[in-house]
Amino acid sequence: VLETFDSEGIGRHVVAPVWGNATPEQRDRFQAVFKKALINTYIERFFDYDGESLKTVGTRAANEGAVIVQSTVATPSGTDRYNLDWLVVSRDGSQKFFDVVIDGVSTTETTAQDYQSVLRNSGGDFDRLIGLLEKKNP
Amino acid sequence: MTTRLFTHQQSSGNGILLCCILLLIPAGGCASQESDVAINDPFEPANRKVHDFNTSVRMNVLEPIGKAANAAGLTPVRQVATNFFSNLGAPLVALNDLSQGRPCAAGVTASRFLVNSTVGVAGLFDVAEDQLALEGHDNGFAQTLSVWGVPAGPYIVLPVLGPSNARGVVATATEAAAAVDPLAVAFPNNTATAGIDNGAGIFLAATDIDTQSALTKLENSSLDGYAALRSAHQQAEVEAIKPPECPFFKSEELAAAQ
Repeated sequence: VLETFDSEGIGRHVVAPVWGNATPEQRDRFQAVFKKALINTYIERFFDYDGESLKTVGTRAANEGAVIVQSTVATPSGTDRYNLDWLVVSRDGSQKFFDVVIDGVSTTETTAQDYQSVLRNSGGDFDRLIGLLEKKNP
Repeated sequence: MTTRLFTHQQSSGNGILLCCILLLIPAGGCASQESDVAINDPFEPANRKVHDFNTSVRMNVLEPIGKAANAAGLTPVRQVATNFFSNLGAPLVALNDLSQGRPCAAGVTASRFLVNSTVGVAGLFDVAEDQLALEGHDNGFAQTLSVWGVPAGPYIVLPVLGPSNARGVVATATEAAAAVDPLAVAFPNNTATAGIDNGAGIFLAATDIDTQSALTKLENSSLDGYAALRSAHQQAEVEAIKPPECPFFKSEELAAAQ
């Protein structure tokens, strides 16, 4: 799972407001725990989707050479379908996922707002965010 | 259909809705100038309390009911009830489509209503989608206000119903006050129909395992579940006013684009 996602790019993006002022140690610690958090997030949110119901419906170009692969998947009850858009970016010569958008709700953006709320509520304390992530993703 | 996390059933019990709304309309809550993109949450402390309450209701009441209903094989019953009530709501959807300047979407909704009301046995079966690939979409006064440029206003978490904003609360209150609910229009002042309507609304909401599981997954995979849901709601609001695909004119549009 990890190799197909642009974990470092997503990681920088979701903590963008504090990334610039972070120390190299903080950045390394964050990226190490964010890899785990990313896997856990996608496992938690997608584990009960029926892979066989996944259907690709098309592709379209996005900003900066990225490509969006559009698909649909059955909801857990099987009575409806979600639209899943996979945002694929080029990273170091290979194609990687940057985001999965479910019915217009971006996983990456939701994560960014989640982390930035934690940062705001702690006065921008990056170490506290990293600590919470390490506790949640041991 | 879009944004299942937040779509409320057409029939979700006007009485219940109204009581929630009356309790929660904030004084001056509609005066906000903020754009939809920035976080506009002046009631965050109160909203967080309601969010925690909703999470607890979902985990302790709704999810056990939803899982039991699903295990008891009620999912097809639920599907039929959903079809029936969303078909009853179709004229209102078409009205909102038109109010938003979307004649094609209104045409799809009207065609679906005609087909499903007849061949689909009074709306019990979605023949239009299953046989004619005429996919339905949701629409309401909240989306119309949004398309008309009315700002979202402050974020408001409603008890049980979940995320909304001042615009959504005003829209829901307007719909409830105008008694645009189709069953209520057909049978005004009829206690039995009102009872069926409210009962069905509660049944559909309580057994909506897709929404329940999506909300629980979001909560479990976030550090701050409140902030994650607020963001998801904000994005879903933007998605909800995108024009639905037009199957009638798709080929012409493609031809014109090339």
